[in-house]
Amino acid sequence: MEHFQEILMELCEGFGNTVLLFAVTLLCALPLGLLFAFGSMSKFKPLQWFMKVLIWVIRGTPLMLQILLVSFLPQYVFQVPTKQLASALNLSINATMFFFVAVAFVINYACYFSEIYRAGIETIPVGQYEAGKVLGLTKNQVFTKIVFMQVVRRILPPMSNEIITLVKDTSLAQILGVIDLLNAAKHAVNEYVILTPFLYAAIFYLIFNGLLTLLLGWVEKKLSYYKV
Amino acid sequence: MAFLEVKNIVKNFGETKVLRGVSFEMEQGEVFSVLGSSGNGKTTLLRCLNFLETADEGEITVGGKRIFPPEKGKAKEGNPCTFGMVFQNFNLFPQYNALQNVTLAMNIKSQNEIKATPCKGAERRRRLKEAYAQNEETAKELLARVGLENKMKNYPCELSGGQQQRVAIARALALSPDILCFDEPTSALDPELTGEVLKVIKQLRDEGRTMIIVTHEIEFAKNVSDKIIFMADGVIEEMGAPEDIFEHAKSEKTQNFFAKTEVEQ
Repeated sequence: MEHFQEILMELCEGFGNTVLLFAVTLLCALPLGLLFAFGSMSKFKPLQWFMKVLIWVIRGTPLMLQILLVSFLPQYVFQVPTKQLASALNLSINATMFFFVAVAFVINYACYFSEIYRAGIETIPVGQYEAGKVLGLTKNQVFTKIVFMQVVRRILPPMSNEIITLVKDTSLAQILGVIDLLNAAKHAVNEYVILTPFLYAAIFYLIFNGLLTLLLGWVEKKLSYYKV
Repeated sequence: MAFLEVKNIVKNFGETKVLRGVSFEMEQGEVFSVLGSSGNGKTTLLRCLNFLETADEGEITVGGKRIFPPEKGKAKEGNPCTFGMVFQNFNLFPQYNALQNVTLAMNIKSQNEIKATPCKGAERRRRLKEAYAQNEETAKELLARVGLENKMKNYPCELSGGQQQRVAIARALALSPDILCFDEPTSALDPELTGEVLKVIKQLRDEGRTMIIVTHEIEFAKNVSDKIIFMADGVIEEMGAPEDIFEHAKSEKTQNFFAKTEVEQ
């Protein structure tokens, strides 16, 4: 148990970034994914095609490539050096890197979420919309008061899957030097020349995902007070 | 001028001509049953009346007010709720209990009405609360009328088909529509459950409700209706009092249909 305290401190700091990236991605990608889903189901064909192509590209290429692309875009396409962008955004270089990673994560996960939403929305029987319509509800009211909660219930299991994958995907942030949990563990392994930080990191991930699984299972149970 | 006037409704689905000019008139308090083989446009007619389908041609007036085609600029305003609809498959909202299924539309209507008034903040919340309480009372009365006073807190999945359909009837009555439509209300039910639903419909007739019923229950139609509409090939083949249609049908198609159904029964 050499340097246990120091290692733990470093890992906790990395874990903070991991949780932050996880939370930011989830908070932004959940609503954005719903918008994407509406886009890909839109009757306005150009929008529908744009969304289909975007989802195809995002799902068809590695997330790591997307992170790199986002980080290089300002410099290569808009000729804005990263340093200049950082000062314009009033962020440190590290925070700017985190920002790039978050942007890539949000877009990537919104695309995956949108397909889950779409599957959920398309399984709601047309009779539910019709019943709402003859009761004088507008389209928006039918969606918010009748359809949405049924969709949430149906998509919770595939969403849980995706959310748990997100926890582990956060480790890709290190490609831009963000000190996430795994990156912190790697530094500790190099610094103290022992392998145990990897084990500790694994335990962090396991506990985080364990708690998430319990939470999502609880929500799922709460929502299954009725049968479809 | 009759209470409901349906003039020359035409509806095509692509190349298929489903309704080829349907016209009829009915007075307040009358009950019409629509009979005919499947695929002859009965359900489509009901769906056109309820704006679930938009008729290609024709005109519908209720109480002297034209509701179809809608006046220019009003097409987007949603269903005017002149008609109520009871579906073959109930289409109850599974996440709401019986009471919530009935109050949902009433509460949304109250919200819209109160939002349209200038009152704000605490006053608005107080009025909403009052309206919700009032709606709940109305819903409880409606559910009691269809014999479900003991099932108000049950979710649709906990109810039998007959009970679900009775909740659906209470839900359709919630906005007190001028005309209540039934689209084969007993076709999805086990035979032993049709009785309870038919009983409720009969009771509504005795209360003087204006109703249009698409059904395959010939006996029931005979007992409950003021007029029978027999549809064939997208038009009204024959229409009249039950005894005229059942005993003295003029058209060959009508005679054949009833001859066949008699053999089946």
